[in-house]
Amino acid sequence: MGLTLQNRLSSFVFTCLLGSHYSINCLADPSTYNLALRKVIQAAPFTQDEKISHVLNRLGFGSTSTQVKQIRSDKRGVEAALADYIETQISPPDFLAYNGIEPGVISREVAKFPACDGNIEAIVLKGTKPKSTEICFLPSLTDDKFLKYFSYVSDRINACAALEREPNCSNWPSQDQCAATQTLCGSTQHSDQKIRLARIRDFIQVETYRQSLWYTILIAIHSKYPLRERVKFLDFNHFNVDWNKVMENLIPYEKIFRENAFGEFENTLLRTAQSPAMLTYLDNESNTYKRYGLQEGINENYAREILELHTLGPYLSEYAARIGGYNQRELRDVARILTGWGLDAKGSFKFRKLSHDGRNSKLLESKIFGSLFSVAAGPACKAADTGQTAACTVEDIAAGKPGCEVTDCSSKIIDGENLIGHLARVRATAHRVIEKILDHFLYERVGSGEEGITAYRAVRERLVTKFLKSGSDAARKSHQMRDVYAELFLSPEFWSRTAFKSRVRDPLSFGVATMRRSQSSAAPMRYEQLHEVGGLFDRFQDLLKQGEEPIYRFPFPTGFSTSNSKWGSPSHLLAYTQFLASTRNNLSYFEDFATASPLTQDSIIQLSKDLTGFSVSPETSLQIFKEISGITNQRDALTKARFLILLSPENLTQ
Amino acid sequence: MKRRQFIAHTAKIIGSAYLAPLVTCLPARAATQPSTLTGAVPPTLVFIDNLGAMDALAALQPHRNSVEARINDDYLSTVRPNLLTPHGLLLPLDSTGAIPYALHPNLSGLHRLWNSGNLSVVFNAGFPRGEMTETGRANPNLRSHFEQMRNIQTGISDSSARAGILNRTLASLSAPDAVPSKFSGVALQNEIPTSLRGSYKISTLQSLSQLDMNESLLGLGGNSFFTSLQKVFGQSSDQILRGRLRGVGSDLKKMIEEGLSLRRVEAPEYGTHPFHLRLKQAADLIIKGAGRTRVIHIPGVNGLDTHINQVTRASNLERLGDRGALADKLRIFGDGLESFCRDLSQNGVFDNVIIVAMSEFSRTIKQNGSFGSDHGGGTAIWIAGGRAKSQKFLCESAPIQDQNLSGKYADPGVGELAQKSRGSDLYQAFDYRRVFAEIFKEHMGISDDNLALIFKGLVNPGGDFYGVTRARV
Repeated sequence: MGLTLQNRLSSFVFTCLLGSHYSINCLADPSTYNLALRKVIQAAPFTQDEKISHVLNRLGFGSTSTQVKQIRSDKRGVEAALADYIETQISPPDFLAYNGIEPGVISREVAKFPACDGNIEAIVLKGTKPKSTEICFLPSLTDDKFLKYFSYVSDRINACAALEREPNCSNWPSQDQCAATQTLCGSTQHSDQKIRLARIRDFIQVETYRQSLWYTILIAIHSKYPLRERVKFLDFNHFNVDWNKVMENLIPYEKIFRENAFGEFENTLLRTAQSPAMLTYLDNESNTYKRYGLQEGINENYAREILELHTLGPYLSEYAARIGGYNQRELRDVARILTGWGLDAKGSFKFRKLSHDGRNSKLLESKIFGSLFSVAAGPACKAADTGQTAACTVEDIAAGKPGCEVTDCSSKIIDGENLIGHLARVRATAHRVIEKILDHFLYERVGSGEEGITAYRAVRERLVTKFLKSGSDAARKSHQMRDVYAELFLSPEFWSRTAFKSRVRDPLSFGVATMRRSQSSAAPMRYEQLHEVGGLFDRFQDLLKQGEEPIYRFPFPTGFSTSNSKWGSPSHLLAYTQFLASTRNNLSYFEDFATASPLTQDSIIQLSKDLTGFSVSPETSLQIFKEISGITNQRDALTKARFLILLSPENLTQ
Repeated sequence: MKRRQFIAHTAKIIGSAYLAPLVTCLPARAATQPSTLTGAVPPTLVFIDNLGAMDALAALQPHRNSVEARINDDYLSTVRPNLLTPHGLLLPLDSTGAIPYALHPNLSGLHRLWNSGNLSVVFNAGFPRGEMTETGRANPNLRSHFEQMRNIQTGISDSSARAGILNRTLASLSAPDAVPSKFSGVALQNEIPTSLRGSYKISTLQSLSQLDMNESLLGLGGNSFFTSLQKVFGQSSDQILRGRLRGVGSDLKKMIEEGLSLRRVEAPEYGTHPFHLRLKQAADLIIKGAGRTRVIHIPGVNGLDTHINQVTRASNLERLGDRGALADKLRIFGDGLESFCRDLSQNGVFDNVIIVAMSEFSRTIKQNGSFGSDHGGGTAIWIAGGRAKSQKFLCESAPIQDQNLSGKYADPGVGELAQKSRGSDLYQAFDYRRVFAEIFKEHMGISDDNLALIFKGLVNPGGDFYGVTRARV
């Protein structure tokens, strides 16, 4: 067959996961979960093909014919194969230890580019747009060299701009700094230097986004654990940040969700709270106690969104006793507790105790947060520590004025940690997070009919219970999102007709599925065309743009909507069509014109099986047959048939 | 109950002697307009949703032309020193000092609209704070962007799903006036916004180029590819698919049939910001759509949520309101609106269009520690267009320092929310529903009965208007 190394590896691991018997993964007896899954799948009111399609669509980005064939031919039966697949998906190996992709794929891709370190200035300063062969790989994705380089360039730009505003440095902290900056920025070639620097920065910024997206899509295409990638996208959108504001912090931020996709929600919440990306994006970096002589330095932006979007949510009236919600005073107190959660000079998280408002929180009196701090409140700061006495201002403390020395109150960070722990395990949060998961992986509650809503609520209650699993701290720690997902895939509701094909395919899923299919065919996608300017990858970016799926660059903290009503529009069909049209020269399956004889309805069905593993419905194949019957050129007919198959209702639902 | 006094300035075309002659956005009365459409368009409403909370006090700042304004200015100098714009740069709305607010210098586009008599402003406005829910509960999500914007677009504060006010308006257009087109209601984004959600079928478009579905794109022979695709969708007998992708096939068909192909005069310079592009698309729809489009929802300028660096940073009390992030956004907003009006005017369809732009609320009077401001307070509603009242300005006359929630004008019935708000909100004297009710009735011709359905709970929905529309010519 002439398989590449990568394909051979892929099929080896795959066979194993699907139940063959010569690997450590496969030696163990099926788990009780696995056995229970098999029963549920067995009982599901689906045909065999539907079962396979359901799993590959829900727990991944769609089917490829290779995958479908493998599952179908599993000797132990389709149910066992699918149960193994599901179990593997929710228990992927640690991302750091094993990238979740065929070893070497990413590094091989990366190796095709020169590193940016040495030659970036030369390339960018030419003044012309870099050629595709000159695009260099920003090491941000592999190490921190890039971050250093980026901040070096940015600092120089900012310093020169500051000097331009105040040429005599009247308000500068030190004249030494002023002189140094004057030397750096120069006097005669000042503006010239600035333009050159700005050009480098612009290049880096644009490339950071482009390469971050490229990196994440490469993983989505190659990963053997596509469910983790889907959960990662869902979680990122829940804790949305905008690349335009976080720039080089994007990739480290994205990692949180990949590493913690099936871990503890509390951990994710805490890591986002302390991430440079979130601290910058929602301004908590500037949420401080007293500053610049103004009355207060509270910035409530992050506090508001952690309550409204990441955890509790606004008031809900669905229940007799309403859940969620908070009032303005509570919000201010939450903001106050999070004062001082900021960044150090290197841009890493730091609890800055001088900026922390250590006053006792009024939250103690709150109904929602009532018992929060009775559990593990840290040692209280003395009044003088936080500048509470008339005699000590923050400046006095900073200057170490006698009587205003800071004693140890750094443990007040524990207030924030307690708060986050508390927010992560209240019912309103569980409810909110579970609904997002269900809307994404089960079906959307809105518009699912009376029965659908009843079933939705039933499964929601079960998952909320899993999420909340009360008990001692130790017991809670052992509780992970994996359990929630495991429960979901075991639910009869997941295996119901209401759930089947209930989601409309979004642009990302469409694009990744298209590329995965090409990848798994005999002639893999030609990577050298992937990264070219105007090549396959740029087409992918166009697809996301036209399809309004602004991955990593949606400006609002709500995250973008992923509801069915958004994706199933004519403009999406247009975007998908354009994507197929503009990439067909790169995707191998569009170049297979072996079918020499005129197409029949049967050969259209076979064409569909070759593309997706499944046949389209008789009505669809008949209509496609009619639509191509007038075309005399066989290649045109074949291309149009393939387009119509990939864009048919069967393939635009998942 | 007359504890407040409103200042209301009615039409008063000002000679504006102190201003250089301006290129104005003239209404279509000017006879020189070439146009392919003679009868213009039926009453059309464009709603611009400036989500993110534009700082109304930055857009409209007290100036020193009157004693009251001077008092306000002195107060603001102490609580938001850096967010203020230097006096000399402000664009006054009249020369007598009767209007205590002046426009931000970057809103020169709006200033020209004002001077040509095509703009009115309702300041201190917003979604009512008191008893507003179906259950009679006080609005609990007063400071949430998303909740409050949804409240505004449904007319009621309750998280239950309810049809949007623009959808209800479309549904209640009286029969002879109604145009059963797929493009009666259009949102220039891919998702249906709350305002247009409901039983009346509307369209979402990200760009009009989506309508140019032609063969050349694909280079495929035979019938139009999209006609084929539409037939494939139409054929599917799968219940679930039909349910999920309901209407996609017929949408495609309609789009092909209704492909908008009328001619228009060359558009004026719009700028390249996405907001400008959306405005141009809206103009295309109104001009080329030959009266099919009655209501358009446009996402406004983003980046208005200026918690941080609303202005350029400085280490002293310098007034920096004319520099920084918000100033840039105001420029985009004002210039865009002016280009839009000029475009409609040049194409002879300006007379029957009203544009309403508003944020969900405003921002705190006090600046925060990050050269920004936080959420809350009455906002400004901008009403522009050929049917907008000329130079009407409504605002609360009480001194700004008395306008926060803890002051003597504290709203009754807000309960816990009335607790001392250290952010201090601008007073909310005007109910945004009355602005919309007036436009729906006077401009779109919606009956009082239907108004009562659109704004459930609004007392006398067909009256007590603020007078922001002008009579049909």
